[in-house]
Amino acid sequence: MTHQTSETFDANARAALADTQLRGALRKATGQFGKHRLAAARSLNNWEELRTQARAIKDEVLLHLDQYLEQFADNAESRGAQIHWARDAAEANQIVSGIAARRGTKVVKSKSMVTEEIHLNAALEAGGLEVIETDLGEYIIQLAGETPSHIIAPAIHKNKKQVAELFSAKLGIEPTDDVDQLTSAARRVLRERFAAAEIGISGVNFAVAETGTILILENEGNIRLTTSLPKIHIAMMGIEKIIPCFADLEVFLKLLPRSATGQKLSAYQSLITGPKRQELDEGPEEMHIVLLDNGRSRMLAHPITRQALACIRCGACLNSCPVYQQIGGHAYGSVYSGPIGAVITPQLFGLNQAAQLPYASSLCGACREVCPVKIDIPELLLHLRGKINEAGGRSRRQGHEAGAGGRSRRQGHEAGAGGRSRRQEQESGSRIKKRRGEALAFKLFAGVMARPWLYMLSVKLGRVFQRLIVRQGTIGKAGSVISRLAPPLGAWTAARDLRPLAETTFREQWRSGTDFSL
Amino acid sequence: MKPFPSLLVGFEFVLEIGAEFAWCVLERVDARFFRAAGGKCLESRRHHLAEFPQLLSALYVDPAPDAPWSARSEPLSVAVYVKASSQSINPAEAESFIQRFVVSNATFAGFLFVEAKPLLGNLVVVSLEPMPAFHGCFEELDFHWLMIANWQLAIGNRQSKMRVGLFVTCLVDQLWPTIGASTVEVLRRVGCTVDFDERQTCCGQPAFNTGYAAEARKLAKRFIEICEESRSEAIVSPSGSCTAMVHHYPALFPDDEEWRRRARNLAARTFELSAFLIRVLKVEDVGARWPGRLTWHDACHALRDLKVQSEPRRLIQHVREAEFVELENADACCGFGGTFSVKYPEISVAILDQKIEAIEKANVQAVVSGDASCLMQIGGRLSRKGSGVRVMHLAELLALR
Repeated sequence: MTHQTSETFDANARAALADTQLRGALRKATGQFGKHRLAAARSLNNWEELRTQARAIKDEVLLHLDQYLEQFADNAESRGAQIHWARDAAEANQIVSGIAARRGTKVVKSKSMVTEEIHLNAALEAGGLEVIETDLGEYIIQLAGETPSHIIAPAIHKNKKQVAELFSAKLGIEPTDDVDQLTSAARRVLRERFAAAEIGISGVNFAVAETGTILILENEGNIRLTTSLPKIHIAMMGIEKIIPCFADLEVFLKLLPRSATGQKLSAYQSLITGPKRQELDEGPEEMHIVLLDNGRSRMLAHPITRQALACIRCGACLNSCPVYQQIGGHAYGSVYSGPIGAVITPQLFGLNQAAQLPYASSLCGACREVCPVKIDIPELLLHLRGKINEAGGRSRRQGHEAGAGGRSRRQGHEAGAGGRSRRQEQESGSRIKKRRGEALAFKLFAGVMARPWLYMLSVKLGRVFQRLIVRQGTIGKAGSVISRLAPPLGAWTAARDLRPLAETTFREQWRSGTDFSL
Repeated sequence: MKPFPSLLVGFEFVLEIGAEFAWCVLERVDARFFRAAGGKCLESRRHHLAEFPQLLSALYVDPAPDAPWSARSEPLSVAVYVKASSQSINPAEAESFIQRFVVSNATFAGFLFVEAKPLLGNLVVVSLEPMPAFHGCFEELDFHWLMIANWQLAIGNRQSKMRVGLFVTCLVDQLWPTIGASTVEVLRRVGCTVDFDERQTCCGQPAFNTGYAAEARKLAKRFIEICEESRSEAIVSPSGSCTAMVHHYPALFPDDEEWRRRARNLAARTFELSAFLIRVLKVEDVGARWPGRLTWHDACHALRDLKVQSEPRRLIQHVREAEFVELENADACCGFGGTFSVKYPEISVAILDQKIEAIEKANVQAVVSGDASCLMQIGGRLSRKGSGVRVMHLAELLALR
């Protein structure tokens, strides 16, 4: 299955909307998550206070991230962990491959968004390693050759039947509808792999600077096995996962499970400080912690973008988002989907590629309401829209200066990620034209609205022209000609009637002294 | 029957003059004063005395802001309807007496009452029908009470007038002027004077939400300037999203202290209609009537930016004969989102259809909301699907009688 990219977001979304099975699965799952989250939040009488506290802790860390990172590294190292600093995805993959190279080929992995971000599995497999996902949802999509579609429930888009078919095909079991049988089948396979694994790779939920401890939360128990059975444990984390003190964990432990699944607490919480210390102890002999930047330090620069680094990856915003609820995660073309994905994907992977994502929102604010760390996602979306419009304006000016050829070459360099296909460049070229048209339209809009006489004139002209399309007091589906001349009109009227301009505006009625009493 | 009208007209006139010159001592007409005047009847009919406050409280309508008043101020409007009978002792006298209280003619009423209070048009007819001897005094008592109530009304009315500037919004102006007309009507009905500055156009939200902050800033400055020149105490708008945009103005000027201050001042006195009625005027009943089954859609900006949620519901609760049904996903987005509705129309409609599904399940005749944009989105889909459910703005609903 080809992985969808952010650039084709609109096409991806249309495809997702046509997928009734997907929409049914999303509606059910996000509805459940949302309901449980709300109940869990209400069960605490200081939920708002906790949110404020959590955000304050994160703000503090982000303001002094360098100090806290060093503090964490020192403390972790003093307990025997090995710290690695990775500037970007390539470096991170190199580091992990390097560690693995000397130690073995059998890798078990627990769920980690950061490893998806850097495409770790692909890199390791290219180096001849065998990587198996041990989180059931991740295992399912690994078997299916897909990417996760939700931050905490990677296989949310699959229903029971699809999983049954998948297991039957890939694991050779009898097709069955029984959930217990399906999970047992997975467990049997995974247990064998755990026993044989030489390397265990995990993510990190929180890294405590004060003690050099990492905390990982789970319900299934696979993280316990991943981080304690194999001789080598590699923990991957983004640099923003640091929190200052051990006591701060209390605030986040109250917020994260409730926001994610509505649980008071996850089934397991693993607090890991370095590898085993005594020979006879259980646990890995070596512990490596890889601290990944990959664009995060760039986000620190601006206070508006900085707040996105406070994210604790609970997924509540996805569940509350009316857009995500309809199209799911794959349409975003990024491991980070939904509202938080719409703001960090452009920043981590490039504004150009992910330029559509910040616009794919009705700015309803539901995400801001549910975010445990009070990230103002709509504010971020508006900020990014502004940046993308600016970039469009800039490229227009650069285009005039350097000529079209130079611009597209520079764009090719900016895009990175190996050469971009000609088709992709052409697509973005037409999008840039669209943005220019839009920028012009809004300049015109502001010009008209700043002059009441011009505003009234445009309304009068509008009333004349709309006679072409108003039928029986309403504007119905626009024909292809009108849709091409006025795309927004076509877009609106495809599925909705449009209210026409009124015979007399309020302003005209007021001026003529209409008595408004009924 | 004693010649009350002439005596009391004279008295009433004095009171009005007194009020005009703000004679605080005459600001409130105390019922006890008039009990003395009609003493003979009253004493023998003590049980009627008890009815007096009952009568008034049953007809209680919450007034316009009484902040400058003393705490003794009583409710101001009486909604009783008494008719003039052709069998009055003196029909001509009765008629002319009634005329003085019927305030449908604003000019005439203005002479005596200073400001026409449309609600009075509902209540004024006084029955001067001759009644049996036993009830003869009762009739006089009724007469007294209504006079008292009306006077309190008249005086209170003058004090409670609040001057508001209407921010009609470009969408309502062009596409849905009845919302503007209804807003004016409702505000006037509750005792406000409504100004409309014709220079206003747009708050700049469409530009701002599409990422064109510079254009939005230009329009914001213009709007701030216009509002600063108005004499209104408050700016009221029938749009949650436009009001939220004005509240967002300070954030548009991160580097300009002066404009930020001016924006904050404007934001502090700009209100969405239902928030203004409930939180500022403390009015819940505006005398509306709409027989039918209806439901409410929470527009996102009003709900999440302005925290408007209980206010519209309280106002709707007082709409006579209306049956209110809570929508299953009342606080879910309708999918409009400004340019989002035409940039990603399929997603917009997919979100919308979930709202439509809930509306159909609720089996209502109308969906009411506080934002014309949501109504356009919801109404447009209902219409395309041939649904009989109509969409109504809160102002339109409240204006109906």
